[in-house]
Amino acid sequence: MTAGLLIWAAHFVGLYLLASAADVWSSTEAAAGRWVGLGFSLLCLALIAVAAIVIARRPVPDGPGLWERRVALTGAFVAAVGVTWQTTPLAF
Amino acid sequence: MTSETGFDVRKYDRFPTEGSRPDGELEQLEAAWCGPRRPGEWITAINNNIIGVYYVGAAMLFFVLAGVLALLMRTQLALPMTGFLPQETYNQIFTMHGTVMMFLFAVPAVEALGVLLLPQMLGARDLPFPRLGAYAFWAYLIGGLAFFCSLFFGLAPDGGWFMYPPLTGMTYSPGINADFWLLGIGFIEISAIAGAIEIIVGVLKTRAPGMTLDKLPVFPWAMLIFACMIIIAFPSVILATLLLELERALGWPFFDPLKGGDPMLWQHLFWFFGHPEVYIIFLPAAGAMSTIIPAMARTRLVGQPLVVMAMLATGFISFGVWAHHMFTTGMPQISINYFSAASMAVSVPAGVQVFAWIATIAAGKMRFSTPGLFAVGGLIIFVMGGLTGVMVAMVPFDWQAHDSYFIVAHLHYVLIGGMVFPMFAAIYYWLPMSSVRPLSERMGKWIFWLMFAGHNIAFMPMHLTGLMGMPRRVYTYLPGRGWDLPNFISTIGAFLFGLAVLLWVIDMIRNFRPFGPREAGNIHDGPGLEWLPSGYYSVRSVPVVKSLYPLWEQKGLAKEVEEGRWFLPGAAGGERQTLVTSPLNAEPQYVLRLPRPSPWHVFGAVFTAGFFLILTIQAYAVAVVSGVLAIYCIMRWCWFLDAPHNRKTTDIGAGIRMPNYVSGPSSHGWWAMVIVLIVGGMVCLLAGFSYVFLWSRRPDLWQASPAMASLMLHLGVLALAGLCAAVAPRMLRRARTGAETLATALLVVSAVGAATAVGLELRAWWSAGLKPDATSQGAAVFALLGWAGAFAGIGVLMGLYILLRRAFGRLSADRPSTVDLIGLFLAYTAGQAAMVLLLIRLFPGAGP
Amino acid sequence: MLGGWPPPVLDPAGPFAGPVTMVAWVLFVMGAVVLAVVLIALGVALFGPRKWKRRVGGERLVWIGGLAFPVVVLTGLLIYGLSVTARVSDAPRDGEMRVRITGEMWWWRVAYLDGQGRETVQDANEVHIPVGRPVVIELESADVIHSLWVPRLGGKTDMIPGRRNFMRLQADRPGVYAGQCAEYCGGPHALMGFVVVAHADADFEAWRARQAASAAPSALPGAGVFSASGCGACHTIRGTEANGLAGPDLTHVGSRQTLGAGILPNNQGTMAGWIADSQGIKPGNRMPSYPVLTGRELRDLAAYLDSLK
Repeated sequence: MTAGLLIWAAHFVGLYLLASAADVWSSTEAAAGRWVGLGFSLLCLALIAVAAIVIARRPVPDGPGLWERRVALTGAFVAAVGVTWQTTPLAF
Repeated sequence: MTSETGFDVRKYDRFPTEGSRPDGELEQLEAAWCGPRRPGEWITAINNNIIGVYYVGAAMLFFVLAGVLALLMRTQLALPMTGFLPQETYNQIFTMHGTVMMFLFAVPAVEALGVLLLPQMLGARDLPFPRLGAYAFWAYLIGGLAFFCSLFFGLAPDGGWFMYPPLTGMTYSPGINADFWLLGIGFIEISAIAGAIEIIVGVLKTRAPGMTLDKLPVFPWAMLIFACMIIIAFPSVILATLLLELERALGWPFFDPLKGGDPMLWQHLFWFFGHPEVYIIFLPAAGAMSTIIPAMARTRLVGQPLVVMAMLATGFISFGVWAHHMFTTGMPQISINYFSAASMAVSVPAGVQVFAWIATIAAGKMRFSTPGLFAVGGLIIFVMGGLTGVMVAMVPFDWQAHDSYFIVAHLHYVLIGGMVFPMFAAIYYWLPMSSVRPLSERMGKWIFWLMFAGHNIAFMPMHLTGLMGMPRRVYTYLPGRGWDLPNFISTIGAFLFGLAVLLWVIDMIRNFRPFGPREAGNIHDGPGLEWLPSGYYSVRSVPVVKSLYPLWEQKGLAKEVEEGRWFLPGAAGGERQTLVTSPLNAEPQYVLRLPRPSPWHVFGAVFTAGFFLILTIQAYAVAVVSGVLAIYCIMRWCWFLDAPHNRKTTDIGAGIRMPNYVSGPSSHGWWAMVIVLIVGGMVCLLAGFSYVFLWSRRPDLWQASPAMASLMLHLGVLALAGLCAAVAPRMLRRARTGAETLATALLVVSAVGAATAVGLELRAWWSAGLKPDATSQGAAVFALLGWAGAFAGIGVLMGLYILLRRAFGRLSADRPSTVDLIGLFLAYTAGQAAMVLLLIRLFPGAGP
Repeated sequence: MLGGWPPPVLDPAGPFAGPVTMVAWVLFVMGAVVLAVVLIALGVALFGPRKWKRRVGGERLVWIGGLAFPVVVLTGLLIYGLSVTARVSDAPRDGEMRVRITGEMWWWRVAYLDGQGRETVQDANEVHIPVGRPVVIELESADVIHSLWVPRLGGKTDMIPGRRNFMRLQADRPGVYAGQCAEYCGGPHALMGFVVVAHADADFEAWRARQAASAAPSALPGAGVFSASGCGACHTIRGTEANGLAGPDLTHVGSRQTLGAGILPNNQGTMAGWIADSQGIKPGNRMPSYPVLTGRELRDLAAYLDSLK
């Protein structure tokens, strides 16, 4: 139910650590760090998409299952928006 | 529907039962759950109906007290360069206002609401750990009052509610004022965590049968997320206060740049707690709004799954926004931008909730009774605070607005709209549940309009004063900058707000009559289980929930419940019992015997509070005595846990029998222990982060670790300790003879082993020349080992406890919970110590 | 005209404040529009005719208002904000004029740096800059965290012990721009003011030359009071034997705009009052009051200090 949001959290922590590590070690490799960050973001977006598809396809016969699926899918949507926004700073 | 536990849900169809209930059943239930009969029992009481009322009352007391401080400040700031308050008094007062509002009002208030409402909402008789809840309350009340009284002796902290070092370090705050904050607040956090454990286990494990996740009302959902957030966020402030207190008391340089520390470490740790804290406060209030608005509009909550998703998303994203309090600290630009993006993302779920409320109002017909007014007023104020929140999430604007009165305006809009107004709505809405008489509607409308007007008159102009350049936390200001007029208007508004609160207090005195024979009842026609007819035992019988709005959609439910036609209609054997259900589908699992009132948790709370407060005033010998007494009282309290049962099963109605005892992952105790260990793990994780952070600041100060051979030895001892702890529960169940003795021995060996390993490691570092007060590495290494050692020390106490239990024959292979839980704790202790050793030995580089 | 109007944040005087003010206006308009949308929706929900209410009272509103609308608006804002952030902040480059400002409880130590980063001219509580040129400010702290904020010239930046932060100041017109410490630093934090004085280029060079000079020997009676009262233990007057470092350099104190860190206008009267009762004026500050000085001594001392232009 919280798969999307968990991926958001992993993405956030990953980008933060990446930025901090880049700041500690050197500023010359900043460009490389940005590409790594972009790759990581795309990976997370893909993971969210996969999670959403898996959740959407899983057969659920009853009320609670349907309800959980709705929560999971909208959560994945918000997580995807969050990951996309987190990625924009890489361009600046 | 597939079953989660193997329970056949078709058995639900046997209810409501037919025929009359046996004679004397109701009387037995009432006798088991009787209220206090002697004056002393009002103090030893543990029933959530009583403790919950105390708890809300104490929180509102601190709200009023901190509000008085606000009025004092506004009086001082009404005109430029007034001498109403001396500078040092003002600095103490603004620190106390923020601290008391955040730590002694906001968090406890919502937690209190949970303690009061959750059992009734979930169809439980009480929360699963009533004594823990009562302990948390008493510790909070005593600690909070003592903390507040420091103001009258001029000893109150004066470093601002976020206590930035070095200002709060020994050099610049040599008095004990800052220690009051660190020990007082650190201790109250522990009480908040105890409450959170209670709430998580309560929501997950004591729901009425059939209350699947989609039928769980929004308020318990919010409380569940709230409590989980406390578990993740509060360890950070606990660690921060520990480190600062270590620096103040022993000179360990975590924040002192001369020895490799960094003041920024405090800011990271504090705000990793501090920003989620805002959502921790907001979520339960939002949950209350999502409950009150549909009830007032007499319709279902529109987009309920979206609202739950929004709350979950808030819970996650709020942990990614902490550094937006640090945009002006010179952090790398790219990091700042991440936090800016996350800060914007967190406003999306808030928008979802706001529009769900509006849609719900449109779908129904809103009644303008007082709870409705407070809900709508809170919504408007919160939206305005949210919009200024988006503004300050924009980095360039924040550079201007940060630490100015614009922020003061923003945070009061968010917190008053997002928490105080919903809190008043909740009080007006739910008070008839606890009081013989409801509050006056006529007064309520006056109070609302005064408060709404007062709020806007007080805080709207502060946006402007901020843009005019007025920084926050100033005890006065110079004339001639145009700040005079907006400040004067703000003061008028603050007093209008104060008048509203005064009227509310008067109305409470006039009309609030708790603990009466009958309550005012469901005057709002609310849909939740909390509106079922109830006594101290909560509901007469626990219904199967088939709807999100059971009282609206399950006709005749109230009558059937009152007639005892559902689950657990009596108190078998005269015991206090509640039904434990599975976490997802709420299928009945077992009957939990609840404790009865006893004085030990109260004494425990008194001495725990005493320990911390006496420590503050540096009477160390007395503090130690108080600490030992606290441990003794808590052990006495634990002594009665896991006691033998007379019967193996209980008939919970319609011939369904449930066990009275389970152990392992189905049991409530196991869940609570796991949550405690998550708290410990979070503190340890953040301490590890601090270690790496400090290294990154001054790698040149880092010295090599002791010889590797000793690491292998210590890890080996820890592995043995972990193994003993892990096998002890199995031995207890499997061994043919002497199972109890064997398990006891294994646990004692494990505890002693873990303590020995940590002790040896400390000695190895000490002889390698590392001193905790010399460098940041020393401070960080000894703090990490200290944390691991503290767990080992508690483990040794547990070993002592289990030895005593074995000696007195209170240990049995039939009842393995005690051994299970201590084994779990000790296994964790060994694992945690091993992780700490690996970190400090191998990062940044291995020694010789 | 009312003092303080227009609000300094909305009245930018340099390129590091201007774009931020623009951001502020964009945000205010955004806020007003969103608030209006919410209030209209709420108004319809509460009081609207049944047909309108039905259109609002469904999950569609949550999707549009709660998800789609914020996502679109915030995406725009985020990109705009990031671009302004990138434009306004940039690492310091070689060849830019540098001034080091050190926050102290509760005043500002100012040092002008030469090309090699050495401190040349010492000053306190005000910084002089040439018009139309960005000046890099190195921000440091001697004790606790402070934050330098001159609203008309841009946002604030913190001064953190053990770290060095940077900001730029630039004013487009000559003038005096007020600032204040924005991070609570204990005690009289409220009275820790600051001014930036922007000069035309030629005036700036003249000011700098004057400031670099030592004080001429003075025959004023106040010079004797100064040394006899031990002022030199904390204060330096270059060219005399006063060489204390704890307090502000007073070599050119008579030329300053303010006294007591931005809180009093600078003239002989306020100077005498400040020396006699600095603790009454700014309680808790590190300068003791000198009630022991007679009125005559105070007047002489103030006249001497005022002569140090």
